[in-house]
This record gives sequence, structure tokens and C-alpha cells, in this order.
Amino acid sequence: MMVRKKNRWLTYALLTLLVVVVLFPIVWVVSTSFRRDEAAFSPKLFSSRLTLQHYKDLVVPEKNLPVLIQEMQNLVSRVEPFDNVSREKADRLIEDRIRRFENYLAETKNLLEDVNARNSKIEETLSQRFSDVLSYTKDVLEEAKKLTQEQMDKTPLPDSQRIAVALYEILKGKNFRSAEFQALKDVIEKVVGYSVENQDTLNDALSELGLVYEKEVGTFMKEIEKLEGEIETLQREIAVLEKQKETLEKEILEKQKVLEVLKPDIDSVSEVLVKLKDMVHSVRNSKVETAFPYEDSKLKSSLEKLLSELNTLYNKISAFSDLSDLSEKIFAMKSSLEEINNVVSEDGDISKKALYGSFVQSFEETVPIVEGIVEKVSDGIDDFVQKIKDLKDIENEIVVLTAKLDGLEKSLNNVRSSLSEKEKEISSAKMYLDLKIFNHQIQSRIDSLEDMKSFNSAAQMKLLSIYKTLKDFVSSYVSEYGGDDFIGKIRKLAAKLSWIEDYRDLNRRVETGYKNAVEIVEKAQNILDDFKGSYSNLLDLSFKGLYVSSEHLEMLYDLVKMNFVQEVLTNTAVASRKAGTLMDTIPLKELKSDLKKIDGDLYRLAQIWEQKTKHYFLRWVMNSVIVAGLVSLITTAVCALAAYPFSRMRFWGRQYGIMALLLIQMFPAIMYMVAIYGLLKLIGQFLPFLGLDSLGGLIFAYLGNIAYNMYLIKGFYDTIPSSLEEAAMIDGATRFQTFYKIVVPLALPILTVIVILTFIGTFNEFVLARIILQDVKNYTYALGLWTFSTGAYETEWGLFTAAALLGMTPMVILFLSLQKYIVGGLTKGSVKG
Amino acid sequence: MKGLLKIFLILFLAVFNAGMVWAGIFLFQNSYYELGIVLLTLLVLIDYFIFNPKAYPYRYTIPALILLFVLVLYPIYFTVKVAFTNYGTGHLMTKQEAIERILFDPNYTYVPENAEPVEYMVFSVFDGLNPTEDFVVLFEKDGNIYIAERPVVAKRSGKEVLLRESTLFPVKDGTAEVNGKVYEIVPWPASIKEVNAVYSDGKIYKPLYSPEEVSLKRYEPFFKVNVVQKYLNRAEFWLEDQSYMFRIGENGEWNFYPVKRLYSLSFEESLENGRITTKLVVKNNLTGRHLVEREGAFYDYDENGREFFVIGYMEYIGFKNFSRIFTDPKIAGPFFKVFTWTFTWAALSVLFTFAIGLSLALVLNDKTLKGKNVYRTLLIIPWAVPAFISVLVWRNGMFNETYGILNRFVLPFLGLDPVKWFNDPFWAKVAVLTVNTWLGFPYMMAVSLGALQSIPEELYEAAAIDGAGKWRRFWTITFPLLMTTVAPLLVGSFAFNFNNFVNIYLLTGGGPAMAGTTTPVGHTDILISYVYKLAFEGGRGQDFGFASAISIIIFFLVGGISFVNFKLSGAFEEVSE
Repeated sequence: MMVRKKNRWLTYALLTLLVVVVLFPIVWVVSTSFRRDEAAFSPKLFSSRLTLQHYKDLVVPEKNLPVLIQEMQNLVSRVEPFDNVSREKADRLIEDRIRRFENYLAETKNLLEDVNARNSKIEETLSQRFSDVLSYTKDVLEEAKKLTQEQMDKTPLPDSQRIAVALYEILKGKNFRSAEFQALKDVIEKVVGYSVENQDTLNDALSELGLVYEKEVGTFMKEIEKLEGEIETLQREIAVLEKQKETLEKEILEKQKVLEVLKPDIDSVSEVLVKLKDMVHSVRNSKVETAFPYEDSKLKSSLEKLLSELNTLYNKISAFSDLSDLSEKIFAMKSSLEEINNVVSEDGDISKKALYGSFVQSFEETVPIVEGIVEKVSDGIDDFVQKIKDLKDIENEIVVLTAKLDGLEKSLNNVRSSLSEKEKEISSAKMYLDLKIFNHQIQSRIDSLEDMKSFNSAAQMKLLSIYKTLKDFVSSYVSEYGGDDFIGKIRKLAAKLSWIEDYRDLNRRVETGYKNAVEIVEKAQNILDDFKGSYSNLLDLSFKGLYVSSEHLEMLYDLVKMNFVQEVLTNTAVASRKAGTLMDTIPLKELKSDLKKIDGDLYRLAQIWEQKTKHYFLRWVMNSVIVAGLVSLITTAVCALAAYPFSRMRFWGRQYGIMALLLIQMFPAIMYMVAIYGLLKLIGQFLPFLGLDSLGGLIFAYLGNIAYNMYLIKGFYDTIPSSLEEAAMIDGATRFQTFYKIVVPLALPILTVIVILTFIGTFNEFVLARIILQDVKNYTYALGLWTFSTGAYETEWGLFTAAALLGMTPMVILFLSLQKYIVGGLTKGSVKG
Repeated sequence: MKGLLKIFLILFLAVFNAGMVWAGIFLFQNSYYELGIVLLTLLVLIDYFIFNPKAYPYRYTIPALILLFVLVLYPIYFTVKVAFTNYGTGHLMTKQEAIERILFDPNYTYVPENAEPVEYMVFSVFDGLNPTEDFVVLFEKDGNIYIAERPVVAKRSGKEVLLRESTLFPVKDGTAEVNGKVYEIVPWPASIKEVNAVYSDGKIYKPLYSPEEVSLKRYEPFFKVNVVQKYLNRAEFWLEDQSYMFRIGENGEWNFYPVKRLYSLSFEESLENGRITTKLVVKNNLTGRHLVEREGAFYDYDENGREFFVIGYMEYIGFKNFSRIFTDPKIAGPFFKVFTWTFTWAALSVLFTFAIGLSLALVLNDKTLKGKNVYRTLLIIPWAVPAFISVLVWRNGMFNETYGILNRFVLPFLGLDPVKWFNDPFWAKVAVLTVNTWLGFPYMMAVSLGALQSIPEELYEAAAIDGAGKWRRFWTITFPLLMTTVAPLLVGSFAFNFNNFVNIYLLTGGGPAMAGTTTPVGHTDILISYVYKLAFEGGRGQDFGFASAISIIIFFLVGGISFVNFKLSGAFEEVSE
């Protein structure tokens, strides 16, 4: 074995670090369970405002005022749980509650007096030791001044151009008396080269600076404005064009519709023309001639005219591919006419045919119709063509304008980026100047401290404004220049002065709260006295069967639930928080204990008067213990019995039985729940104690965990030599007797482990419990804890962690004491006694 | 003594058998077929075990067997059966029950137009000043007065009362005979409002409530809670052929209105394959239309002729639940994502916990390390703390996006931005794995420690003498020997994490929800939490059928893995001695 000494320290260190990281959540649970403040909102990881209240609420909840009032009301009205008490008992109970109530009132008075006294004491001490307060403040301010000076020294002096611009930006609009000017007087004098002693010279200086500003920055701004204006105009123009385009599009669609409507007419005319064409063919082929040839010159000229019109129309239409079917129709008409024309003009003899006359007549009847159609279509097409051209024009214009817009926007971006670069350059100058101003401000504040003599209201206001100065500087610095080391330190210094704000708030709240509370306590006492006189009569009536309720109690209830909450508790809650913060920030450290006491008193006050939700924590734990206990005992017994034959006897299914069971139990238990829910519902109709929402039902549902336990127990049985049982059987014992007299006692180690493991497992189970249990009183511990964290309101961390700690500590201890057995069992399937 | 015991046992068995048979029949009658079959099978087995001398070994298993059958086999059988149906919200009853429901449930009735409410007054026996639930109802219609007793249960569905009934009898000359009892109205003649009392059988019924009666207003709460909700709400009062029910009218008042059933059975004839077949259908009495049966539900038509859902029932849909996984794109996508993540999650969990656990075990295995027991006990604590507490603490205290310790203190301390632990899919997975590692490494550490200690020292010494370095020794000696003991446990841990519902569900609830799916799926859902959400938390209704189908798939996966594990670790060998 090699000797490894040198790595030791590292190993220990790493291990300790690991333990700290791993156990951190546990530590957090413990520490949060003791916190008085709202852990969720507190800026501190661990708090010094500690209390045991959460544990008390869970384990020994106290009956505070709202509860007492409710109980008295229930007694008077004979409502559950007091609906069956006897008259004497009712009397006694009411007297008891009244007494407790008066005790609480007395306690409240004491608390109020104590808080008030301490508050006054704090004020007095601050007044007496005001000089210490002043020197504290002065130290802080000096420190701030020093830091600022250092920071200024670190910043290189910017060149005069930049300074001029920055100066202009800061001082523009400020007058001679302003603090900013006073601070920067020497700088501005250095830049302009002459002294500035009055408003006029200041204005001159400013205008000079203004020129520089214009040159550096102003031009950019103007350019930006101009560009933005142009862009706006362009955008408006484009919008107008877009609108025109829309209208045009609508019109085009309308036109298309109109043309569509004409189609059927064209079709019928087309048909007629086809018939005419056929007619002319048959005329030509006919044999009968007439003596009087028909006059057809008019016909021929109409034909020609029509043809030319149709041709023009056809040419117009065929240019548009959307109108292709229309142009086809026109083409069809045209070809029919052309054919007719051909026949009529080539065949000179046709005019001699007898039927020619009727043909000509029919044709002449058709002509006006065709002309009409052609005209309509032609008009439509012309319109259509025009609109399409207009649309194209507008679109082109839009494209041109958009391109122009893009160009403008690019220029704008360029200008903007140049401007921001410029501003970056300026900002370092600005920072220098801001620091100088701040420095000046601090100095004037330090000077003003000299004037403060006593801790009166005016002095407090001054201290407050000093704090605000620092705070405002920090926030404006950060928003302009971002965060850095320097401002971080200033922020910490500012925080040191924040106490004055908190203190004033505390003072005000305590005074208001105290005044209101004293009034309310007085009123409560009066009402209670009245009630003392009247409750006897009320009880009489109630016991005769009437439903009565006490008006006095209702008034008391209002007092407690509304008036006290609104007028006192709102104030004391804030005061409590402020007291907590002040414990760390107040300059006079000996006041810390007073503040702590105030915090504690006010907290106790709230506990007395505030209505709390009822918790059934102890009940839950008891439920869990019962359920887990019974389940573990029953399961172990059943499994111990069932595992025996697998170890000792031969039968079918012995070899693979347990494995098969283990495999079967791999079925996701979640899905059991639907079936088990139905099963429990059914059983519950006949045996309510085994149904849904009952502990019996839950116990029954948990008993299904057989396979794994059987496997472990059987493994253990295998290590017990069977010679003992054989000897016993030779002596006359039955198999079963050897089982429970010999094997079971020897197997106690594994059985105990299984009982405890099952107990722990059942105690922590919550999925099945959630489905089966409904009434909050029946919940198990695991389920109850889960509802704490997912309830209707934000988690009450204090209660939750306290409940978690209370429940898990026994389990953890139990587990840790058994870890050897558990691990052994898992690796070998058997445990050596 | 022994003989007495035997007689007692036989009697007990007889009673037991009779009870089980009766229970089985009862279950069959109430359509709990699966449970009935399970019980009867169990009975047969138990009887066989007890009466057959060769079945002696099995007798020991009887209590376990009972529990096994009822709590394990029955649910599995039930789940498998359900996987082939559409059991879920809207499809919870059998078809028979559904039809019965719409025919007889008072909800499916309508008040004909222009129906007038009937004047009524309820009379009850008073105990001193307080009314009781022994009441009678007086109606006044068309100048006649009728009396009805408290309605009795006419139709049940299990424990739920579907319907109560009562008949109205006319009052003549101030008396009426109802179910053999004589009721006397005082005074007579009178209209309802003038009646002072009703006498019967020595009991006096005094006025309790009537809508118009101001003097009786103070009994309204009692009337509402003890009379209406318990008896009148689902009750039909029959007067000759017309039934009256307690309904809320247009004026907002509760009154008795004549009602008619909305649905009734009817026949439909159709021509199929040249034969006339008649089919039973359900008809809407108002419109005369037949209800459409489709996909496990009945649909009716509303005034606009559109279909709307009336009632659903459970029916067999074969392998549709299984094929849905592959064919429905909105389900297939998320399903496979969940599937892959489940495997990833289990594998990574085992990997991380084992890596950390083993490293710690190696460090702590050193006998010369001071305080090693202390370290070991402290490091085991995460395993000892109940898992659900730990997970809740991690969720609320550590990972909470606004107030959690990590986002508020730790990350800013390290100069990092707060992380959206629960709203970013990647970080949610990180969170879940972190917590699982925290919870699981102590187990691996303990197991590795135990296994390491069983490796003999001589092996190391021999290797050192032969010149093997630390790493070499580890990989060639420690690791292989470790694996023989630990490998089954690793596979076991994989199976456990595969189905580790608690950690995932409590921490993220399945994680940020996946967009664009019809089922409640999240990015950190594993198969088992997906199943749970489907079965119990479906926002658009719970789909037990589909959930059951997926459970079966999970079962085969996990069972398969475990089976392989058993085989490899030679566990089967151990049993056969």
C-alpha cells in the first residue's frame, strides 16, 4: 500500500464542500422554518428575526380572538360542535371564553404600551445622541466625497470641444443661482476664457457654448428631423397610392363580373350564328331556285361590318390571358360569320336559291342582336383595359416611392449611428461633469449638517433629503452610464443612510397603529361587558328552540376582522418590517434590541388578532401513523406466510413464481388507480369504513405490495437451515407449527426491516392518497404537506418547512439507523443477523 | 378441541363460499363483470387449495393471493380491458345505462309551452318549533285539491337515486285515502292557503312552505335544504297520466310544472340484404327525430339543425387506442418525444447517480480517512429524506423562478442571469435531472461501498507488486468485480427511474407544456406522468382508454428490461434449490 499523505487536505476540503452543497437544501428548510419574516420576499438568505410560531401553529394551535368569538357564537346559537351541551356547561364554557378574551385584551394592552414606550425611547435616544447621528452621517458623506474625488481623478480630462457640448447640455436653461452652475463655475470659466459673475455673462457664455453644441451635435439633430419629416411625407403618399390601388382592384373585379354576366348572352348568340351558318350551307346545297333573286347587298355590307367589328374586338380581347374563354367565344362567333361570308360571297348563285330569302331575313333579324352584344362587350373591354393600365401605373409609382423610402431610411440610420457615436464620446465628458456636480452637492450637504442642532422634524426632513440625493444620483448614474464599481460603492453608502426613511415610516406607523388599537381595545371591552350581561338571556332563548345569535358578538367579530385589521394590523405589519430592516441600518447600535423587541411585540399582536386557517397537522400525522403501521404489519405478515412454501416446499410454479410476481408488479401502479377507485366506490356503498375517503379504504389499497417483500423474505428463509424444522417434525410438530414456532422467530431481523421499510414507504406515499382521500380531516401527512405548497395562496414557507421538518426528522432518524440492513438486503437479498 | 376447531373452520368456509358466490352474482347483476370473474376465480382457487391435500403448499399463499387478485390482477385485467374501449369523460356508462339515463333521468324532461305552474303548499310534522322531514304536499289545480305523500325511490343507479315518485290523490269532502292511510284537511272546504292543518294517523301536519306565503318565509332554508334537495329535486308527482316536477320557472321561482319526457324508445325499420330488420332507436319526443348513434355517443339536433352531444357510453373500439399513437399526428409527435425523453432521463439518471456515488464510495472506502462514517452518514441524508418533501423543497425553495434561492442568491453571486427553470424546456430538464441525481446518488454510494468492501485486499496488493498503477488497478480489478454485484441494481434503477412518477410530477408537473397538442403533454413528461395526466387530468376530459393503452406499452417495456435483467443476473438460478 502506498502512503498517500499529501492529498489529504484536499480530500477533506472537497468532501466538506460537497457535504455543504448537498445538505444546503436541508439547512435551508431548517432555517426557513424559524423565520418570522416572509422568506419569499426577504432579501436576506438567513434572517435574525426568528420565531417558533410556525411550530406552535402546527402542533399546539392557540385559540386566538377570532376563534374565541366564533366559539362563543356557536355556543349561543347551539351550533356544532356545541349543539348538545347542557345549559350549565354552556354557561361555564362561555365564561371561560370571556375570561380568555379579557386576558388577550390585557396582553394586547401590555404589548401596545411596550411598543409605544420603546418607540418613544428610540426617539429620545436619537435626540440625545443626535451629535453621534450627525457625525455618522458626516462620515458617510465624507467617504462618498472621497470616492467621487478619486473617480474624478481617474477620469481623464476631456478635450474642450467635448466639455463645451456637455456643459451646454447640462446648463442649458439653468440660471445663475442654480446648484449645477455653482458646481461647474470654474469649468465653464476655463472653457470660455472669462469669468462669469452674473446672469448676463452666463447667457453669453451659454450662447458661445451653444454654437459649439450646434456644430457638434445640433446639425445631426436637425438632419434627423428633416429626414424623419421626409420619410413621413413619403409614407403618407404611398398610403394614398395604396388606397387608390385598392379601389382600382375592386373596380377591375367588378368589370370582370360584368363580362361574366355577358357570357350566357354571347353563348346564345353564338348558337344562333352556328344555326345560321348551317342554314346557309343547306341553302347553298338546295336545288330549288326562285325566279326573283333576293337582294342581299345590305346583307353583305352588314356582314362585312360585323366581321370587322368582331375582328377588332377579338384582337382587343386576345391580348388578355384572363379573358381567354371570352376570346374563344368571340372567335367562334367570328368563324361562324366568316364562313357565312365566304359562302355568300363566293357563291354567286346562292341568291337564286329559293330559301335564300328566309335566310337573309333571319340574318337581318340577328344583326342588331349581335351588334348589341359586340357593343356591350367592346365597352366593357375598353373600360377593363383602361383600368388595368391605371393599375400598372400605380404599382410602378409605388415601387419607385418605396425605393426612395428605403434610401431615406438608410440615410436616417447612418445619421443616427453617427449621432450615437458622438454622444458616446460626449458622455465621458458628461460623466466628469456629473461627478463634479455630485461632489459639490455632497459638500453643500456636509455644510448643512452644521446647522442641524436637534432631532426635530426639520432635521429629519433634511436627513431624508440627503439620503434621497445619494439615491437619485445612483439611479440616474446607472441609467446613463451603467453599473460599475464606483457606483456600487456609492450605492452601499446610500444604503447606510436609508435608515432615516425607514425610521420615519416606523414612527408614523407605530403612532397611528397604537392610537387606533387603543380605541379598538376600549370598544371591544365595552362590547364584551355588554355581552356579559346579555348572554344569559340569549342562552335561555336558545335552549327553548329558537335560533339566536348575539349582536354583540357580531360587532366584536367585525371589530376584530375588519376594523382591527384595517386600522391597526396594516400599520403594524409595515412597522414590523421596518423595524426588522432598521435593526441593521440604524446608526446607534444600542437601539437594536429595542427594535427587535418592537418587532417581536407587533408580531405577537398580529398572532392574537389575526384569523388563521385551521390546520389539522397533528391529525394528519396520526392518520399517517395509523395507516402506515397497519399496512406494514399486515403486509409483512401476509408476505412472511406466503414466502414460506417458496423456500421450503416443492410445488408447481415454485421456480418462477416469485419472479413472475415481480414482473407482474412492474405494471405502472398509476393505472391501478382507476380500477381501485371504482372498487373502493363500490365497496364504500356497503361498508363505508372501507370506501372512498376513508382510512380503511386507503389501508386496503396499500396492501398490494407483495412481490418484492416476498422476494426478500424468501431469500432470508433460504439462509435458515431446514434441519431445525426437520428435527422438529420428527418430534411430531406439523409443518405449520415449525413455521410459526421456529422459522418466524429466526426471521425476525428481516421481518423487522420489512416492517420498517414498508412503514417508511407508506408514510411517504401520496399519489394514491390524493385520489382516495377527499375530506381534509382524513388526509395523511404526505398529502397534507403537499396541499401546503400548492394551495390557493402563495406558499407559506414558514409553515411548510416547519411541517416538513417535523415529519421528516423521525423518518430520517429511522432510516439512518437501519441503513446497514437496508443496503445489505439490497445487495444480497439476505441479511446476516 | 381439535375437532371443534375443524368444525368451526368448515362452517367458516361454508359461510365464506356462500358469501363470495352471492357477491359474485351481485357484481354480475350490476355489470361489474371483471370484478365478478376475479372473485369467482379466486374462490375456486381457494377451495381447491383447501380441499386438495396435494395443494398444501399453496395454502400458505391464500391471504397473499386474495390481496394479489383483488389489488393487482383485477386492476391489470381491468386496465387491459379498458385499453380497448373509449372509457373516459363522456363515456363512463355502458350503453344500457346511458339509454336508461336519458329515458328516465328527470334532467331529460321538458316543460311544454304555456304550461302553468301548479299552486302547492308543503305541510310537515313539527317538533316543537322546528319542522321535520315528515311531510306531505298539497296541490291546487283547477279548483281541486290533491294530496301526495313524500316521494319514494323509484330508480337507483348504485347508490345514486335517479328518480323518486309519488302519486297525487284528490281530496273529496276534506278527506283523502292514500296508500291505506286517511288524511283529513282542516278546515274544509278551503283553498290551499286557508288550510290550517292536515291530520293523519295521529300526526298533525302544519304549513311549512309555499312560494307566496310570507308568513312561512323563515322556513325557507329548511325547506330548501331538507325537503327540496333531498326529496323534491328528482321527484315526479303523478296525477293521472301527467307527471309534475319541481322546476325553476321564468320568474325565478321554484314551482311544480307539468313535464314530459324528452326521449323515448322507438322502432326503426330498414332494408338490409333484402330483409326487413327492426332496430331500437331513441326518439326525441318534441321534434320526433331519432337520435344519431355515433362513436360511442348519442347526438340530437338543436333548433338550427346542428348536432349536439346528448350522452356518451363506453364501447369497444378495438386497437384504435394503440393505432392512435402512430396515426394521429398530434399525438404521435408528442408521444415519441416523451418516449425518447423517458429513456434519456432514466439513462442519464443512472449514469449521474452512479458516477457520483461510485466516486464518493471510492474516496470513502479508505480505512485511514478520518471521520469517514460521519461523511457517509451526512451524505446519505438526501436518500433518507422522504422524496416528496425533498422535491417540494427543491421546487419551491430552490428553483422557484422569482423567489428561489438559486435565482435570487446563487446565480447573481456567480454573476449569471436568472434562469427560467420551469418555463424553458431545456432548463426544466436540467432541473429535474439535478434533483434526481441529488436524491439518488446516496443509494449508489451506499451500494458501491458495500460492494467495494467485498473485494479482497490481496488482489490489489498483488497487482501493485506487479507494477499496476492506480487507474489500471481500478479498471481491471475494481470495476469488473463491482459490476457483477451492482449491475442488476443499475438495471433496477433504470427501471425505477423509467417509472419515476413522483419526482417529475411534483417538480415540474410534466414541464413546460408542448404547444399544439390535443393531450396534456409537457417537455419533461415521462411516459408514466403522461399516462397519469391523460387519465386524471385531461383538460378536455379524461381518457382512461388511451391511458390504459399506454400503460400496457410501459408495462411491456419495463417488464422486458427487468426480465432481461433477471436472466442476466442469474436470479432464476437462485430460486431453484
